[in-house]
Parts: sequence; C-alpha cells; structure tokens
Amino acid sequence: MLRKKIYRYIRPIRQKLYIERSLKVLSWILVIGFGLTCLLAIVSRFIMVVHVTMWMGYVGLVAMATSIMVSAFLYPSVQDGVKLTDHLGMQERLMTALEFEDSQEAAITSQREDTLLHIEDITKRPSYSIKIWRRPWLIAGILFVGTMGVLMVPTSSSKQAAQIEELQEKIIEEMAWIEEKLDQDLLEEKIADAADIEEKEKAIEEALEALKENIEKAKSEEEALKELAIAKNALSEIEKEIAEQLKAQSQEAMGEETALAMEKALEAMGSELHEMQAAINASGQNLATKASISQMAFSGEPSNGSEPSQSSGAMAGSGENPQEGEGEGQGGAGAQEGEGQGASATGSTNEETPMQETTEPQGGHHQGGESKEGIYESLYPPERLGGEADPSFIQGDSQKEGERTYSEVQGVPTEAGEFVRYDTILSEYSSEATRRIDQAQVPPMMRTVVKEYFSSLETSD
Amino acid sequence: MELEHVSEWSERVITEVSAHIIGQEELIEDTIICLMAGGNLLLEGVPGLGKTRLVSVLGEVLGLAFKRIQFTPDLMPADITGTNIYNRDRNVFEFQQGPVFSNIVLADEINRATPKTQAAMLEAMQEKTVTVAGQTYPLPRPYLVMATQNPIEQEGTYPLPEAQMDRFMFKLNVLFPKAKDLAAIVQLTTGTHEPKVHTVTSSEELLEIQELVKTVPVAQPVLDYAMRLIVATHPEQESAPDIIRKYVLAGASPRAAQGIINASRVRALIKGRYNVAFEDINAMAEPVLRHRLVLNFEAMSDGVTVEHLVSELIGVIKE
Repeated sequence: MLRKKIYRYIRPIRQKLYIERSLKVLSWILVIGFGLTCLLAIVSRFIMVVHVTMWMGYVGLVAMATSIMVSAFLYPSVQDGVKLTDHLGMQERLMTALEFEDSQEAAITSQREDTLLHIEDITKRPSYSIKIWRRPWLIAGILFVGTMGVLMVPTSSSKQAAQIEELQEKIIEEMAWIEEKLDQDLLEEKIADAADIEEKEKAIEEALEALKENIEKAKSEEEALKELAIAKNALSEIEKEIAEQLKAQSQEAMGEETALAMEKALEAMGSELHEMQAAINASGQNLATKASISQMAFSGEPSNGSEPSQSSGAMAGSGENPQEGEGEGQGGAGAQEGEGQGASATGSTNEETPMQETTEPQGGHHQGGESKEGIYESLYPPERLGGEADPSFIQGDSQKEGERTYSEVQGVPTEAGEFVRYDTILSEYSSEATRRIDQAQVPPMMRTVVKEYFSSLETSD
Repeated sequence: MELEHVSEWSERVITEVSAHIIGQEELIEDTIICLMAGGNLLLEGVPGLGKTRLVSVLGEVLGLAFKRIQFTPDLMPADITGTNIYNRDRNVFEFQQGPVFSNIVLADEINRATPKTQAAMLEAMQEKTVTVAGQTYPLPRPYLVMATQNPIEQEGTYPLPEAQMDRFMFKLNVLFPKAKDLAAIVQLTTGTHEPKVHTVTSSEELLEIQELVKTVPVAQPVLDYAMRLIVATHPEQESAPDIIRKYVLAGASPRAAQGIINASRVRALIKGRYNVAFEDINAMAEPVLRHRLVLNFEAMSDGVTVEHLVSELIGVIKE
C-alpha cells in the first residue's frame, strides 16, 4: 500500500530524471559525433574523401542510434527516484518508510504516518526541473559550426572529391534512366510482341482458312496441291519471321529471365507451327489420296500400296527463296520439281519422310492415307535413288524471292474415277519431262534417270 | 510521552531558555539537543557571554539540580568527586559527595585545572558514576556536564587531553551577540526587574525523552553517509579528502559516530520528523567533530579551522 503510493508519488520525478539523463548522454554523444565529423571534415581538406558528407551523416546516425540504445538503460531505479524525491523536500521520509515498512514499532508507525501525510499533501509536493548541462551542448554546437566552416574551405582534394561525386551522381542518374527506360521498353516490347505474335497467329489462321477454302474450291488435285504448296510456303515464312524475331528479342533481352521467356515463347511458337504443319500435312495426305486415284486411272490398274505412289499430275516450279536451297526431287510417278537458291542448305524438301506402305489395295479408289505421306514432302529421298546415301546439298546464296511458275499438264484426269489412255499422254509427258530437265538445274544423274524412265515406258509400249 | 510530543516539549524548553539568554538561539538549541541525547557539552567562548547563566537557566527550566565548579590549577580531584570524611561521632568514614553529584554540572574553565583533576571528570562524564576509595557511586539522572574553556588565555592552562575531549558530545562556540541582542541583554540584566525563570518540565520527562530518542529510525543510506563522514576525517583512510590529509593529524573516534547519530535523531524530532535526514547529519557534524579533529601545525599556520574542514568534508562526501 505505502510502497505503491510512494512509487506513484515518485514516478514524475523518475520520468524527469530519465529525460535529464538521456539529454545528458545525447549531448555528450553529440559532442563525440560532431568531434568525429569535424575531424573527418579536416581530413577531407587534405586527403581526397569522396562523399564526405555522406560519411558524416553515417557518423550522425551512429551517434543517434547509440544515444537511443544507451537511453534505454538510463531509466532511474526506484532508489534513485526515492533519493531524489527525498532530496527535494521529503527529507529521507520515503527511504526510511520503505526500509522499515514491515516494522510495527511505535516510532516507525509514526514515521510511516508522517510520510503518508506528506505524500498526500499537495502543497508539499516536490517539483523537479530538468537540468540541462550547457557545456556539452555548447561544445557540440561549436564543433558543428566548425565542421560546416571547415567543409566550406575549398582545397584541391575537396574539389577532386566534388568532381568525382558529381561524376558518380551523373552515372547513377544515367543508370537509373537506362534502367527505367529498359523497363519501359521491355514492357512496350512485350506488349508489341504480344500484338505482333497475335497478328502472326491471325495471319497463320487466315492462311489456313484460305488454304481450306482454296482446297475446297480446287477443281483439280493439282490446284489443291498448288494451294497447299503456297500455304506451306506462307507458313514457313511466318514461322521463320517469328523465330527470327524472338531470337533477336532474346538476344537483346537484358536479363536471363527475359531470354528464357523468349526461348520458351519460341519453343511454344515452334510447336504451334509444327502442329499447323501437321494439319497441313494431313490435308496433303487427303489430297494425296485423290492423287492416287488419278494414278490408278493413269496406269489402268489398281494402286498397290507396296509401290511408290504416283501422281498423274505434275507440279513444277522454280524460284529463289531464302528458305530453299537447291535440289531436286522425285516421288513416285508424280514429280515435283523445283529450283531455288537460299541461304539455308536444305533441299527443297522440308521433310524427308519415307513413304509408308500399305498392303490393302483399294481398287481404283485407293485412299492413300498415311501411306502417302511424304510424297509431296520428300521428293528426293536418297533411298529411292539407288539405296542409302547421304543427300548432297549445295549451299545456296540468299537472294530475293524468286517467282514461281506453274503450268498445267493437259489431258490428265481432273476428277477422281476419270481414266485416260496411257499412250495418249505418254509422249506429251515424256516431251514435257525432257524439256523441263533441260531447262532446270537438274543434276545430270537425275536427268538420265528421268530419260531412262520414259524410254523404258516407251519400250514397254 | 510519545514522539509526537517531543517536538512540542523541546519548543517549550527552548522558548523558556531563550527568554533569558538573548541572541544565542543556535547555542540553546544545540544545548537542548545535547541534553536530550544524553551527552556532555563543552562550551568555548570569551568570558562574559553568559555560559554560566545558560547552564543555570537550563537547570531551572528543566527542574534539575545545578552545580558549578570553578576549575583552578590547585583544584584537586577530590574537590570535584567528593571524598571520605571521618565522622567522629559515629566513628566511621562517610562519603562526602562532591559537586559532580548533580543533574547539571558546570565545569567552568576546565582547562585551568591540572590533567589529574580533569581526569577526575572522565568517569563521571562517561559512566555517570564516581569511584572513591574503591566505592562506586552512581550519579543522578539525568546527568549533564557542561564545561567551559577560554580560548584566549592560554597561559597557565592545561589543554584537555583527547581522551577527555572525546567524552564531550558537542563542542559549541559561544559567539559574541549582535548589537541588538547585546542591548536586549543589557536591558534585561541591568534593570530593576529581572524575569523569573519558570520550570517547564521535569527530570522524569527528560529521561523519558532520552529513551524515546533512541527509537527514531535511521535509514541505511543516512547511516552509511554519517559513517563515511566520520571515516573520512581520518587522514590515513582512502576516502579522506585531500584537505583532511593535509591538515588533520587525528580523526574522529567511534564516539563521534554515536554522537552524530544520537544528536541527529534529536534534531529530527525537534524539526518535527520521525526519521533522520541527511541534513540532520550535516547539521550535527560540526558540533560533534569540532573538538575531535586534531589539526596539525600546517593547519594552524594556514589558519585552517575545524569548521572549515567539516564544511569541506560535507561537500566532498556524497549523500
């Protein structure tokens, strides 16, 4: 009871004492801090110290932190509070009462009652004014002013330091600007890329739609094949453009993350394109089925799946394309020939897929299905030209896109199930083939093969 | 009597004594304190300042027996303590009590007696007994020895030995009164009408108060402070300040520690407190230490007084 009253009574005194102690500690720490900064300022006048003000700031921060930490341990104890309160007019009543609080002697009881009377007497309440030690504050102020004064004195070292600071600031500003710009550009590029890719996808979709329509509208298989080739070329171009664009972006990207993202996007785009190509191939296979029907008409007998499928129509073209190299191809009875020069060293065939065989003859209406895959893709697989061998390639030069020429061969069946006589078209096919191989840049060996083929037909006839 | 009445009692006594001793309020208060604490008192002052009058008035006010002994070089111990005298009628030696057998004894100019006679006062002052021819006689209670000495006339005097000086709780300086007070003294003592001294208390009350004083609590920090103060008077002690080391030959004895605490208790009660404060210790330090510090020649040559040293000591020793 008495103890609580005494504690409550001395609380304001203790708080003031705490503030006083903290201020005292702060003042002396400031003296030390400003002393150090003054020293630093003096040193910086003779030795080049870059960012001297920053270092001074650090010293100030450390001083403040130290004073705060020290202040945490400065709260006066009860004994200190009691002693000070007693000194302020309680005349050791509080400390005596606390010391003898358990005693029941008459004198002690009287003393306790006397203490309580004094505690409850507002007129006798001791007042304590916080004492400010002027000396440390004065010293700190002088040191501060001295530091500022020293910093204003220009010397060669300080000028050099100022120049370096200025340079560093500029570099930092530039870096910040670059970073900001990069971020902004990257954002814009991402948006643009997304738009671009969407555009490309749209173009691909449109190309596929057009292909679909054209194939449906095609009056003959040749037309369909032509449309298919055109679509394939268009898709290849789009694919290449996207690939190059993404590659360039990934190379330009600053961080690894962006590059990785680009690579992933590239892969994703590639896979999408492959899917589209697979779809086109599927269309090609459908068309090839139709072509097999024509072949049957051409040969007069049902198509055997074990034999290479032949197309009764021929599509020939020549051109210069960056994607196309130089090459020749022949698949089955139908021929697709092309001439071109390109940067890449691939042949005119994009895929070299061996023709799959089927053992189920379908009469005159043989549906080629998957077995016909590769007829229009791999025109010159080496195994068809005398066994296993590495295809030979000639490095093409990157040229402008060449023009494609197409010519229709007359007399071929235009609809499935329509038959013509073999001997009616043989001479025309033979002469056309001879003329074409003379014109085109067909390897001599292949020319011989073509000539021998037609001559063998004539002989057998 | 209870503690609450001590302050009122002392006020009553002081007021009555002050009515007859003009301009010596501090001396009167210290004398009352010493009396209440059960100590002996040494008064030092030039002749004619009312020392004897103070003692006589005090005796009357307190209702105590009072005797005065004028110390002279030819004064013998038996003249003070008393002696055995042959009674021819009864054919026995009977003890004839000396002047020490009184409640208040004024040993006037005590330093004029020989050390042997001065020593005769030792037992009476400390043990409150007198031993003559192997027979110990108790002195009446309360018992107070008030001795005076003249600081000027040193010729033919025997300075009190330290052992005897230590028996006095207080040494008080009787200062010359101010002009205003002096005029009042003259008017009081030279007129036709001299005021009568009233007895305001009894010896029993005084004894009771002396017992009550001992119950006043002293907080440990206050006690520590008083002890540090006493210890610091010894030049060989580590806590002794430089000024003590320089000018003091011998410090205060443990009796000084007892005296300062007892006197502080009384002072606290007189001031209306029931505990000893630091200010009580500081206030009682001078009368308690004044005659107990033995100064060296350097102090005397530099004119350093004990009062100055005590004041310095209080400033140096932290509460």
